[in-house]
Amino acid sequence: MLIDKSHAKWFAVTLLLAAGGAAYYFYYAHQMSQLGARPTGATLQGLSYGIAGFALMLFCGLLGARRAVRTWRLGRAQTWLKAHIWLGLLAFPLILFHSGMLFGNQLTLWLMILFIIVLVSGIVGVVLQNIIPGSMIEMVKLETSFEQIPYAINKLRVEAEDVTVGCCGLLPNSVPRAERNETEDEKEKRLKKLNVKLKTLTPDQLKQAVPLMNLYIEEVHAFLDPHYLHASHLASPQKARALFDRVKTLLPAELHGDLAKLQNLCEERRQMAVQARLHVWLHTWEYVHIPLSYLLLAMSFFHVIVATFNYSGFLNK
Amino acid sequence: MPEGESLIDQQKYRALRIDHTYHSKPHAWRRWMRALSFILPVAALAALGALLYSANGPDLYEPGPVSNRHIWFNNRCQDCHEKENGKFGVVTNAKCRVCHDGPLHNKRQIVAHGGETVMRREQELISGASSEMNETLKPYNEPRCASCHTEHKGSQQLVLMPDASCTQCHMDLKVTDGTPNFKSGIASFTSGHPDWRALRKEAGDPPDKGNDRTPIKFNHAKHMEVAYDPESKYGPRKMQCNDCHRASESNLELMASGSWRLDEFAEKTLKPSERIAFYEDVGKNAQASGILRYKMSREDIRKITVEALSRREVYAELKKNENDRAAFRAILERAVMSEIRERFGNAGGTGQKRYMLPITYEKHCATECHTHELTPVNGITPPHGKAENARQFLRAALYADTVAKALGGGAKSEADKAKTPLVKKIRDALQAEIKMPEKAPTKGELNKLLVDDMRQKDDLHQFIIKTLGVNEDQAAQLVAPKVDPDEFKKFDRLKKAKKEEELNTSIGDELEKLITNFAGDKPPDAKDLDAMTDEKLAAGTAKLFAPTNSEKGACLYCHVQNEKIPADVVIEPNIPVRWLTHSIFNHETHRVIACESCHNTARTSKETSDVLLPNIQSCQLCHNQKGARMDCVECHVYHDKTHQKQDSAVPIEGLLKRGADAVAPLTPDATRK
Repeated sequence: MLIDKSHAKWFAVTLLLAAGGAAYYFYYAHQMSQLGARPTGATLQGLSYGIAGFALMLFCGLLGARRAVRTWRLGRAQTWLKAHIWLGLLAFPLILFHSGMLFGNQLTLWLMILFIIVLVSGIVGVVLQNIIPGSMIEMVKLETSFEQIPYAINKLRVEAEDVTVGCCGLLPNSVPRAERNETEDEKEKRLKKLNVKLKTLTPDQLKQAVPLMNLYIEEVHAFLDPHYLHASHLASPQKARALFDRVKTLLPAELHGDLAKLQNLCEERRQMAVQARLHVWLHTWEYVHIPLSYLLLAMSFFHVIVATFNYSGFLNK
Repeated sequence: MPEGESLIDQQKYRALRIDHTYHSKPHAWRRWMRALSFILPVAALAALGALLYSANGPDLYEPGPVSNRHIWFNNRCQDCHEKENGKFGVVTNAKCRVCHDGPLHNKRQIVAHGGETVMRREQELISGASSEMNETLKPYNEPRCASCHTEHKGSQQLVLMPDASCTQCHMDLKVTDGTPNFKSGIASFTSGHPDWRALRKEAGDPPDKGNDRTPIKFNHAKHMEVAYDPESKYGPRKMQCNDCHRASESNLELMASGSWRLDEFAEKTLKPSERIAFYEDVGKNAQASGILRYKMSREDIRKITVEALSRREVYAELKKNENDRAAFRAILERAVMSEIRERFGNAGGTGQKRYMLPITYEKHCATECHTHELTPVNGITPPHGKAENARQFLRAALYADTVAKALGGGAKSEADKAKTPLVKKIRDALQAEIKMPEKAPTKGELNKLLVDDMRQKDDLHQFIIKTLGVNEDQAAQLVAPKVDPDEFKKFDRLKKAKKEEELNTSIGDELEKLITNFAGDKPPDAKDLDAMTDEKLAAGTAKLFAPTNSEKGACLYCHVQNEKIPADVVIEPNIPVRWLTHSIFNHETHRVIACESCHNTARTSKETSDVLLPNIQSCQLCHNQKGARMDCVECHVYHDKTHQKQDSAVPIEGLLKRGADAVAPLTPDATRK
């Protein structure tokens, strides 16, 4: 979600509430210090902070449910996300005030550490969400669905193979063939069509297409692989252009179109690689933030139960 | 980009590469995300649930650490919390009283909310004559300890509880029977708290004067205007508050660094070379003996010597020995060491310096100003104290005087007159033997003193020999020409035979004979001596103890007559040391404030009945919401520590190893409601 002007009100309200909470906390801490004590979660004020903070945490956790059921007509998804961000930020100081600025014993210590990790990962995520998509638009013009990248790459290889075979003839047996998820009928039709095409090629044409064949075998085939070859000449746009330009000079004019198709396929592959890298940056934080958020909620719930009910019913020694 | 193809064509072209059913086959990333989001919380809950039953389980659900004083059993919940059917419950008073006695606050108290019934051991006096006590268990309604001393709030002082713990009862005070003895409606120190009882006027208080009914006559205003004698240890200045009122006797800053007795008497008697050595030796001895943990400077020891010399008995003893330098030094050193021990030693001392030390006549009135206040009787100044003691002292002193006069009086013959210097010497020696104990001896005790003393040193004739420096034969002739000299020799035999009773009687008889023999023609006998003494005593004490005479020098100049027990002459003053007996006050923490800032009526007070305590408004100047602390526990203690039991000792091994559960207190008289 982009942080823009529409977040101004959320920011203002969050800041106001946090400032108000802080102001009252310092007053309450001063009162407690007069009694030789310090703020804790067990006081009325501490409990109030804790209840408010936990309520906000629960609300933030509901974002997952809202996103899971997209047809829920409970406010706009954007509003939910805004609330998640700002109320989540507000929850942290409230929980800090609840704890009296102490991290406490084992359980509460883990909770606070967990909370900090969740908060920081969330902030990192918001920052990345605001920077990377813009870069992605510029850097990846041929964007595809991230999860489909391996599938798309295979399709690219199939297309490249078809282009190469269509103008250069059958590939040597040593060259691995692209995986084609086709039925027998489809395969038969394709081969039939290919045979028809190959019969039209003359030996001179095949001979003239050898540079293209070599290009495919040596570079393109390996490049169009789910495992991206950073060392390949085709990984660099400049080197790829130079390579294709050089091969173009070795080919007759009628093969320039096929060469261009191969070049486009390689370009798409490069952009898919960039897209994958950016996608990792954009979404890895979620693997920290989301599972740990649920973990945090579960442990917080545990803490609420045992703290509220004063251990009764939980031990049976 | 394929040439000639539009962007839309390219997008359509690329769209063909997408598997349109991919949404039903979640990517690995999404699967892992969902798995982790489920597995982690479940695993954590399972682990936490399992940890609950482990040894460190309580750490998990402890609402907060306990206070520092209880931290050593932080993980032993059962030490404080009752356990029923495996569940931990409330903290009952019985648990707290394993270690803490928590004496009862008030026997008639009624707890406002949620109290417990606690059985306490009470002793009742059955018979005043025999002082026989009967011990019973009585029930009292008390608040739960944990309702005020709330734990699990981390580092805190458990005794510092909010005012609400106190005002829950004192806002609307109720008692089991009768009416409360204290004011109700107290919300805080500045709201509803009454002025001190000593300053308030209530039924039975004198309407036209202060509430101080101490039977003594004292004028503060006069004393604060008078100046000291220039030769006093304070020099020619007016009296200050701390000349008399001191919270501690071990404040060297308040001690004078010189006095006439030190400068003109003690230090003159000691050689100049001895003075510094004397102070050095005293300091070393005090440090070596363990009284002082550090070496006191010569200047400080000099101050203490001034204080020691201010004691009448010390000065008297030194005066007697001022010609015997060695004895003088020894007596002075003993007196200074005694003073150090009393002021600085562990056995003495004034502890926290909360309250002012009691004012005593001997220490505060008689050292510098009222030194010869009491009317002498036949030249003998009686000691200040109970009338009966003064009478006994006077009688003993007068008897000795009579005896001494009888020794020298009535001699008519030339031979007897020649003995007069010798007799005088014996008389002086005899008088010197009469020490001034705290309680003056009776005539019989006096004789015994003389006899005992002589027994310790010598028999009678050896006493005479030593006093006069004569030999045995001369002593025998001198003492009793009519007495067989051989009689004296039997003293030796008796002494050797250790026939003490017989020896006592013999010496006592010989003393009487001595007196008789030296009395001349008409020797007075013991009965005459008694009568003469009584006559002198009656004449002399008439003025001193006269009920109608309150001239300076008589008892009633300062004291109030005891009409109920006339023999006592005056009512024991018993000046209160503490006026605010239901609260604590610490002068030490207020030492920065000038005395008269709070006690602002002292300078103008002329009547003893004036209570010179500062009123509550004076305290509220500082102790308010914006100033110094004003919570109830700042001045008041809930538990009556004067009744704190000392027999609830718990073996430490039990506490450390097995916890309070395994230890039975010695006074298990608390039961749970």
